[in-house]
This record gives sequence, structure tokens and C-alpha cells, in this order.
Amino acid sequence: MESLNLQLLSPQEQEHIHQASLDILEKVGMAILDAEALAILDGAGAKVDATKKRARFPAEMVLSALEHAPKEIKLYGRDTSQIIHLREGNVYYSTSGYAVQFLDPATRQRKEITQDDLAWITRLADGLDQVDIYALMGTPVDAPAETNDRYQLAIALENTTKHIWNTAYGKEGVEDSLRMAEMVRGSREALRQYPLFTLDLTTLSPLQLDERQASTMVAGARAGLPIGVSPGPIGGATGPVTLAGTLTQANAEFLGALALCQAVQPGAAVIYTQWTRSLDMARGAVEMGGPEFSLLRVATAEMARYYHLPSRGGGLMTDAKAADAQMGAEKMLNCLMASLAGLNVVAGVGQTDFINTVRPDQMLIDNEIISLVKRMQRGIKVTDESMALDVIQAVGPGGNYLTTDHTVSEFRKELWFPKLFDRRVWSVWEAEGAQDISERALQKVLTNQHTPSPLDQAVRQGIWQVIHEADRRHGA
Amino acid sequence: MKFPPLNILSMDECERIHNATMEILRDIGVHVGLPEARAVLVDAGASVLTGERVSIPEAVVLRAVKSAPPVIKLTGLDPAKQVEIGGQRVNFMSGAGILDVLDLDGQIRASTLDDLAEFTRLCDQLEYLDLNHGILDPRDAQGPGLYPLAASRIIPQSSKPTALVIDTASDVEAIAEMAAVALGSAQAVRERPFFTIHDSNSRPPLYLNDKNYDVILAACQRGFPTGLTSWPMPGLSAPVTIAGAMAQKYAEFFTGLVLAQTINPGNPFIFPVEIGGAELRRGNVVTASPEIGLAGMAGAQMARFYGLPSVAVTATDAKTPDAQAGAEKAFLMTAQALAGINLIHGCTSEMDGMMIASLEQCVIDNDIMGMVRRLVCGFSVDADTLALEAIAAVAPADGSYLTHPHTLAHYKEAIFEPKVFTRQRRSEWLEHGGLSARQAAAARAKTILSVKRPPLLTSQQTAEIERIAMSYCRKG
Repeated sequence: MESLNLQLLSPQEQEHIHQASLDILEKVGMAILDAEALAILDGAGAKVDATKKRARFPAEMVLSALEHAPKEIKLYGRDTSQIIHLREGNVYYSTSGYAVQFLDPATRQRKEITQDDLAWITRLADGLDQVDIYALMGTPVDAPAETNDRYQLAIALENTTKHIWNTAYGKEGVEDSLRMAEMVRGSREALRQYPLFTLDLTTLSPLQLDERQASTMVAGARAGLPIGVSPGPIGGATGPVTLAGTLTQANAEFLGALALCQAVQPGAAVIYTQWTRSLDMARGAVEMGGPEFSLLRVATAEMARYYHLPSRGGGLMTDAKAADAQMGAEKMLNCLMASLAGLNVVAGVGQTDFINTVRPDQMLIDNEIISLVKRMQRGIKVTDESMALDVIQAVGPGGNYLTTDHTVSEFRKELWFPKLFDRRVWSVWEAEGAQDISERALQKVLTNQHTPSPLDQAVRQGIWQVIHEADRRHGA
Repeated sequence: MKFPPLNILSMDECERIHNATMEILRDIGVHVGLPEARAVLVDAGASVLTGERVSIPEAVVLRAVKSAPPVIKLTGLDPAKQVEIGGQRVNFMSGAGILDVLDLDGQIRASTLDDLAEFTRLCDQLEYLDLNHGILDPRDAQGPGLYPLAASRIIPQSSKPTALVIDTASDVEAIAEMAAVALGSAQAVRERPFFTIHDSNSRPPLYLNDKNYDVILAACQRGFPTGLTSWPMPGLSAPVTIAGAMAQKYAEFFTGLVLAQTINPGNPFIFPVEIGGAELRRGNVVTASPEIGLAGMAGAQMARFYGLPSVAVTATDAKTPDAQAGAEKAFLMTAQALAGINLIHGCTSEMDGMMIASLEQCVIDNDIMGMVRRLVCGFSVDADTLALEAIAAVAPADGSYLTHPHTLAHYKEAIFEPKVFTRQRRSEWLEHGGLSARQAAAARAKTILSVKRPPLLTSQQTAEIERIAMSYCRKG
């Protein structure tokens, strides 16, 4: 079978976008609002204007950073036998979002996410067989703003054994996160060797790293953490309205951040990500579920491959609020395109309403969508056995295949079996309650008993000790 | 740039499937019951293997492939509505043959001829749908004359090119008479067809019904575009492995193609590439699955291999317009559009495995088609869309592109605007009633149907068409 990778940008177009990005970095540069980061860039060959906090990047500096960045990255779950190997050809699926709202399956009401809710959501995600990576889905409202990153990480460490993707707030946040993760992993050295979490960072478009972004990036690179850098300019607002323009600006922002990471620590593991999206001018809202979002994900994967870097992007996004056909259609379209594009990490499980509301029913539906798409990615096997001419001959015109040995031995391998999608006949569906897919998913969610193996009590206490200390420092 | 058609088979695999198909046709043969049909095939160079089984050599098949036109052109009753089916064109067409209707008030009921007129009127006005189809088999018209009666309700409402469903040769005759009334003469219909004849299916495995021949004969004598469909179910009426099911199906199709090209060399003949599906344990029909998508994708490629225009189906097994319906529709439409299916049918309605039609789902599917159309167009990368001047003027830091001339010049082309899918912020969405896609679609369907359109045909033409249909009821 041919590899199922889509082709959107021609090699010339990729080159054009690359050259334009180098141009932007050299002539316009980026605003870097952290003094240490500016100093590091200055030392590494950037043209720095310290008073204007502007760094301009000569092309050779960016090219050398690209040479140092690893082409493949290995990430690990709590158990180091759970390996996420980010390299060309591998596609993994992930949650994401930092939402503040959540659909409570018991009341069917939308509510703000608390620490307990986040723990419950995390356990639900931990039990989903198609979710490979747990990126933080919520920002608990009952935890202090200054140390929310630590609460998020602690809740994730306790409630999932999957690899974690989380942000951190500044140098202190990175250090606290490392302390927590190393308790689970055993030592700082083991954590470096088997990363348990990836540092999730963004830029401030257009072309800026604010103080926290820059200082966190510096601290993360120094600590040897894998870093996902996700510029997310909004075409028409914080990026050019044309897809090629906003893509190019995001590409430049990523390359600037990459140059900073490599200046701190040559060989720093950085994952190419874009959350480029568009502004729906007619409605003044950001679009994340539409076809343009998918086109930008295909381009994201292609630009990452152009640089031989691992990639990540949104793939299960929707603008829909209700659990309706729009939600299903947008989620599928996005997931299919991101998967066909070969993004190494396709993120978005469970997020709805842009990235504002976690829906537990949708987490299960997304899991099903991923499973369907994965079957499609396996393609069609064309062999003598699969063409089965001897079976066709034996069955003959007008015959039946049901009881042939070929059917019995092959059907499980060849056919996809849904867990949630409905295939009953109408009368059975009606007699069994006439529930739509959201209702069926909510019923399943309410009886979900999945809990990952608990952390050792001492480790757990140690983790929360780090948080209490952080809170005390911040006076919370 | 645009997506080039996505190939999922290697050239070698295409050839292997072709060779398997030729081997089936040569060594196993296809059941052709009617002596006159066998005579036509023998006349073309086939031989009778045993009794009613016909063996067709590769050279005969390839001659028929060469004689069939690669592109079928249809012009609707509105001469501005033209489609080209073939090459790299992707067209979207309604569903067909549905028996029951999900009312706008949520009730399931038997479909009527009036429903058929209403569904056709709605679909005719959906902006992203290219062709109408015999969307319903109305239950109040079952019996002889069903399809003439159905056509008499479709033709007066259909300004777009249309596929008309038939079952017998006499149905084709009726359509020929009605079409001559609509266009003024039989000659005009031959010169400028506005419809294809959606044939009666063959019976897999490898079994041509008598009426398959009758219909092909009736259509080809008049030069009407048609094809030979079948719906092989892996594990029941075809090998459970997709590649085997494809080869078997293609053998049936080529038998029809040889018949058509022998009766009328050069007759437009479309290649239906879909396979069906079944839940083997319960025996239920499955109409949406990754395997169906894969067979459609590979089929698009095989049709290109032969230079024949392709058609494949999309449907959903969901019972209501829920997230499953959206996901399954989006999956099949996107996968098959990317693969370059020339005519994607089932693009409106086709719920509950092609058993239920809903006006709401038609409107929802219209938005999905719109997204897929936008998607396959890709985007351009050039000096203007890269927007380097705008980036230099606005970035970095707190600049906004909202009022920049580049944004004003390009915003209209940048984003696809859905008709019922929401892009609003949640607060705004709630202010507008917090409608689900289904509710918004119901409202849009009502709005479209409330507007009176100028009739496409004169009242005399419509009356004459109805008279013809009635005469065929009596004949039957």
C-alpha cells in the first residue's frame, strides 16, 4: 500500500514559506520580553536591540538551530515501557485544551472545572484506548492562578499513567514541575532519560515571546525537557488573513523559539506545532472546526517534515456547542485530515466549543472516531490471500461466503467493529431506548469505573508538598 | 495548491487487482441467465463456460473500457447547471431509494410522492449539491409504475442534473418519454441529457439478473448514461477481504460494461466502485465503515487506472441527525473527495443505513459538502498571500491585522462560511436560541421551502409528464 500521506504544499511552496520565514526573522525579528533570553540570543549570534527588546535572527543562526534539533523524540508514560516515539510515520492521539468549562454528565449542566472534576476527566481519559498522550484538558478554578500549572500537573500525575503534556509558569513553575515528576520517575536523571511530561508553550502572536513564555522556554530547555512550541496566530487578527501568510508567520515564530531553545541547550528536543486558525469576520469568532483549520494542519505536518522535526497539531476540533451533527462532522473531518497529513500528535480529544468546554460524551465519541480513522489508515491489503480467488471460485455465482473458512479467519482482521456507533436495525434501536450517540456515551460515562494504579502514598505527599510550598511562596 | 487525488494503492497493486478481476472473468465467469444477453457477450468475443456462466477475455474488456467515454457531461433543465463526471472533477449528489421519512416534528412515517417533490425542491436549492437523485421510493406509489411516478415528481422540481432510479426497461421507456416532454424532443434528450439512469443492481457474487440486461439495453439504445451497480457485502456476498470484494465486484461491472459498449459503442457508462457492509453476527446491513471508505478511495484510483468516471456512496447508520451521522457522513465524503471520486452520491439524507430521509439531514449534509469542497481546493502560496509586507507593518507585539488593507482585500476568499453550523461565541449562540445543528437545519429547510419558485416547466409539460407516469402504472 502507498503511504496515506496527503500532499498539499509542493516542495517549491514549502521552500518559499521557509525562505519567507527566514526573511521575517532577519528583517522584522521577534520581540522577546525576557532579559535573560535576550542575552542568550545575543551571545548566540542574534542582533539584539535590548532597549526595544527586539531580536533579529540571521539566517545562519536559524539554520544551525535546525541542524541541532533532534529529528526523533521519545516520550514515556509512567511506565517506561509505554513509549511515544515521535518520528516520521507515527501518529499518536492526545487530549488538550486547558478548558475552564465542563459538561457535568450527572446534571447535564455546564459548570466550571474544579480539581475534582479535572481528576475525574483525567481518569476517564486514562481509560480511553485510543488516547496515547494526556495533554491537560482543564484549568481548575478552585486552584490559585499563580500556581495552577502545578495543580494541573499533580492531578495528571495522580490520575493517568499516560505521557503528560502541560505548561509551566516561568522558571519556578518549571523547577516545581521537575520536582514533582522526578518523584514519580525516581530521579532527575531518570526523568531526563525518560521524559514523563512535555512542556507545552506558545508564542504571543504576532512575533513575540512574552516574559513568562521566554523564561519558561529557557528554563525548560536548560532542564532538558522536551518542549512543544505552538504558535497560534489567528488569521485576520494576530496573523495575516491569508492561510499562507498566517502559516508563514507561525513558522517564523516557531523558528525563532527553536533558535532560542538551541541557544540555551544545543540538541534541545522541540516539537513543531502550529495552532494557526482563522477569524470568522462575519461573526467575530475564531474558527477551529472548519476546513481551513484542517488545511493548516496538513501544512503544519508538511512544514515539520520539511525540517525533519516531530510535529503536533489540533485534530479533533469543533466550533459546535451541542452534541450534534456539526460536532461529529467537524471532529471527523479534522481528525481524518490531521491523521492523513501524518501529524505525529493529533490533539483535541474531548474539547468542544473551540477549546472552551470539555464534554465527557464527546471524549468517548472522539475515541471512536480515532479508532475508525486508524482502521482507514491501515488501508487495503492486496495479496493473493486477500484477493481470495480460490474462495471466489469455490463459492461461485449466487453463493454465500458467511461460513467459508476465509471469512471466519479474516473478518476480525479486516473489518472494524464500533463500540459506540450504532448499527442496530431501527426497531431494535427504538425498543432499546432510541438514544442518540451522545446519550449513549453519557450513560457509559456515568458508569465508568476506570482508575489507573495509584501513586505511592509518599510520592503523592511529596508532590502536594511541592504545591503547598509554591502556594506559600506566592502567598496563596 | 490543490490536493492532487490521494492514491492509496501502488501501481503494482492496481495491476494486481486488475489481473484478479480479469482472472475471475476468464476462469470463474459471471452468471448471465438471459440467452439474448449471453448472445450479445458472445458476439463481443466472450464464450460460455458452462450452462449460463460466461467467460470474458481481457482483450474484450479492455476494448469496452476504451470505447466508454472518460467524462460524462450532463446539463440540468436550467442550462446553467452543468456537471462533468470524470477526470479530476468531484461532484456531490443526493441519496436515493429511501422508504421512510423523519418528519420535522420528529416522527418517522412512510414516505409519499409529495415528500419526494418536497425533498427534491429542497435539494435543488442546496448550494453545495451538484446533482439531484431519486431520493425516495415513496411508499404510497409502490407497485408497478413506482419509478415513472417518482420521476414525474422529480423532473419538474429539478433544475440540476439528476440521476433517476429505475427498476425495469419499461421505467427507462417512461423516463425517455417524460424527458422528451421536458426538453421538447427525444432528439434534444439524446443531445443534451440532463439525467443518468441509476440502474437496477446486479446480485453478487457474480450474478447478473435478467433485468440488468433489459435496463442496459433500454438505456443504451437511447444513448442514456447508465452503469451497473452492486452492493457486495464482505463476508456474505463477497470475500470478507476488501481487495477480493473489489475484484469480484469489478468482474460484474465489466460484464455490464461489455454489454453496454457492444449494444451502443461509446455509450456513457459510469463505474460504481463502492462495496457494502454487514454486521456478520447479526446480519444487519452496514452502510458506513472505514472499509467502505477505503473501497471508495481505492475505487477512485482504479477508475482513473481505467479512465472511467467513478461513483461511490456515502451514508450513515445513525438513526437521528446526531454526532454519529455527522461523523460518518464527513468521513465518507472527505475520504472519497480526497481520493477523487467523480460522483459522490448519498450526500443528502441516507440515515439509518439508507432507510430514512430527513430534510434536516439534507441541510446538515449541505454544510458538510461545503466544508469538503473548500477543503479540496487547498490554498495558494504566492507573494501576495505570504503577506510579508503586512507582517512587517503589523508585527511584532501588539499589532492587529484586523484593519490592515491586506486583511480587507482578502478576508472574503479566506474562510468558508457554513449555512447552519455555528461559529458563534457561546454567549451569542445562546442569545440566538442555542440551536443544535438539527434545529438550525430544520429552520433553514422551512425557510427554503416557504419560498415559491417560478416553475421550471409549463403546466402543460407537467401535466403531460404526469399523464405518461399514470399510463405506465396501468401498463404495469
